[in-house]
Amino acid sequence: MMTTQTHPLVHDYLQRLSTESQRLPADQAAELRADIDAHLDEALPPGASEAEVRQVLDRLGSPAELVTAAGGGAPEEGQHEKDSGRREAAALVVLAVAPLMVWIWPVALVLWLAGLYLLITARRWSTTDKVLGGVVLGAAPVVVIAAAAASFVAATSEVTCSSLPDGSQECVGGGAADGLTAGTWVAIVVLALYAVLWVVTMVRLARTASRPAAA
Amino acid sequence: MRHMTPAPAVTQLRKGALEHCVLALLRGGERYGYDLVTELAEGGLLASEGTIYPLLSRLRKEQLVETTWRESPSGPPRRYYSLTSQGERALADFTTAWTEFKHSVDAILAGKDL
Repeated sequence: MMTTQTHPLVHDYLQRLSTESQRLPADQAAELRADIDAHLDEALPPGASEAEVRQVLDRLGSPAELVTAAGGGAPEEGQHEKDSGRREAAALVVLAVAPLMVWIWPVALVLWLAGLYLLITARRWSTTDKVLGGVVLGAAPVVVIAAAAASFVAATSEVTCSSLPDGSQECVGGGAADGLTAGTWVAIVVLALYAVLWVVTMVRLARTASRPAAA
Repeated sequence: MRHMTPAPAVTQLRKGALEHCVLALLRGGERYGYDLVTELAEGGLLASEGTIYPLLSRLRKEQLVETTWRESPSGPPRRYYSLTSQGERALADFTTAWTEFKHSVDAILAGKDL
């Protein structure tokens, strides 16, 4: 790949082109991409200024326009970009709120399904983004329920003590010396790792969704 | 080049004529994509340069043009387009139809009797 294609504006343009190209069969999408790559290689001198890059991209036309010209479904110009930003934001908010609502499970269930629907139908995210979002954010209510169940079990688990022949007592179960069993520690670590993963996913999806859709 | 928003009728006309203009540009021999784009854009025939590529791809599928890859003196190899005999026939047919069409429209626009 030529150095000109690493220009942030070009990178952004090609990213949007590949998102839009999801409307095309794979072979057509690949061909269009190869043609556009070749065009940019010809049109952009090495070390092109930002003004030159903008000019070349403007003349090329928006990715949505090119994909539509290639026969990719109906164009939803203008309106589409505005809507699509809102849909992504709504998906993230709903998926973030759903796990907080697990104690009113019908509300949580509706939010969860709505969030997943918005996530899948959003247009600014790639398939990878959607799979990541679906798995990590979608699992949140389950993780919250599992964590609640685990802490409930830990809190109520009986300490079994047995009298030894010498009169002392030996206890096993919920109460290790420091009050936490190995199992509880594993659960806490898993939960912490999940929390980190959740935040990373949220940030990644929010950033992709907020990428300005310059025409 | 001055950019004006063309009337819908002009956009439609341009769309219809464009693919035959591409065929006409290939009459003189094979050319590569970017070369065609620059010439068509200078002639004011392209609103968005990129839309030429899907068009070229369609012409190739319809076997009106064929392509070969050739080394470029600068940079990566280029895809060259050339007319097929089917493409030549399509161009000849269009040229005849266009000439008649142009005369008829000109005559009516000028208010003359046909």
